[in-house]
Amino acid sequence: MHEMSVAQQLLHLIRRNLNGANEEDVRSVRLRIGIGAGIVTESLRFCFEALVASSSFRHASLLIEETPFTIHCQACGSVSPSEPLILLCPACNSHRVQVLSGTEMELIEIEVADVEEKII
Amino acid sequence: MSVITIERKILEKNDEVAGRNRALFAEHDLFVLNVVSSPGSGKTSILERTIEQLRGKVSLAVIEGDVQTDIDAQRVARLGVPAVQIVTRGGCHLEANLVHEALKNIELQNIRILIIENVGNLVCPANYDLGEAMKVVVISTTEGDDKPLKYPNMFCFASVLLINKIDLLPYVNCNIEQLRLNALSINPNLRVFETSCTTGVGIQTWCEWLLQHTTHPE
Repeated sequence: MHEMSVAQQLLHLIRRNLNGANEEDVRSVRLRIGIGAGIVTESLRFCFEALVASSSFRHASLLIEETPFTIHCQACGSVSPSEPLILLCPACNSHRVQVLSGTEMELIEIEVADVEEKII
Repeated sequence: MSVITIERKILEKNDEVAGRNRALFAEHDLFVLNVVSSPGSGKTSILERTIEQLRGKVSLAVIEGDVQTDIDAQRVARLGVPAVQIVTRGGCHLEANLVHEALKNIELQNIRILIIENVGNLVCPANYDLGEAMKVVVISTTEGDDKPLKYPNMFCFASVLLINKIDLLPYVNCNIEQLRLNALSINPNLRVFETSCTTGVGIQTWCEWLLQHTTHPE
């Protein structure tokens, strides 16, 4: 259960990237989470909502894009979807594979309200 | 509505501090292991056996991570090795900044190998880089041979697998070959050792590899 710690670090990261915008004006937060990143997205959402409810980020909603786990086989050259963290090429059974996606845990962007959209 | 594009890792702060730890380790020519496992697999016992085996050959220090108490640091300190306890007070894993703070209590210039024993947890510690050279995952035969398949993260990101408590194999439902195959199916590059801290079998082989690896890293 490290989703609370991840949610806390996410809020720190947003604060560091506001570019002068107010925390109260953040409306949405878009994440990219790989299905092999070891994150329970429902739990992350719960932790995020619990943290923002009593903070200046209370108008922000969380959007999560889940990325599939895909591997590139260096033996046969194929790119395949795979069960998360199984480093085996389904086409030729080689273990010489490289993870292309599915372990990401990234903040993509935030949406901030302009002056006329602000909640008074 | 305005969009601010960020495109950064959520755990960027942890990775930054891990990078600072790594630079500090390099400056002191220190080989650092992050030992992970579920609770009760024998991490501290392996540390004790490793310390005994390497006594007089190389200088070691230990950072212990636990949710509560300094029992483990006391166990290790009894063997005459510098040991610092991190108590996470509920936290299920160590983070780079906790290790960074703990390093202030260790005289790094006097040691060659630093072993960080993570909080017993086969899930969360996989996500947090501490600045280590490698992760060592410990699994005991009593946990069953299917655990690598059920908890793949830790095996995927580790360099070494220690299969511990092999003295109990006659009494438990665990096929060690299957365990090994399951772990290697997730990460074929794992270096596997079989150990028992009760009989001491396998400890010497593991320690020889560790010593060799410390002096001549691959």
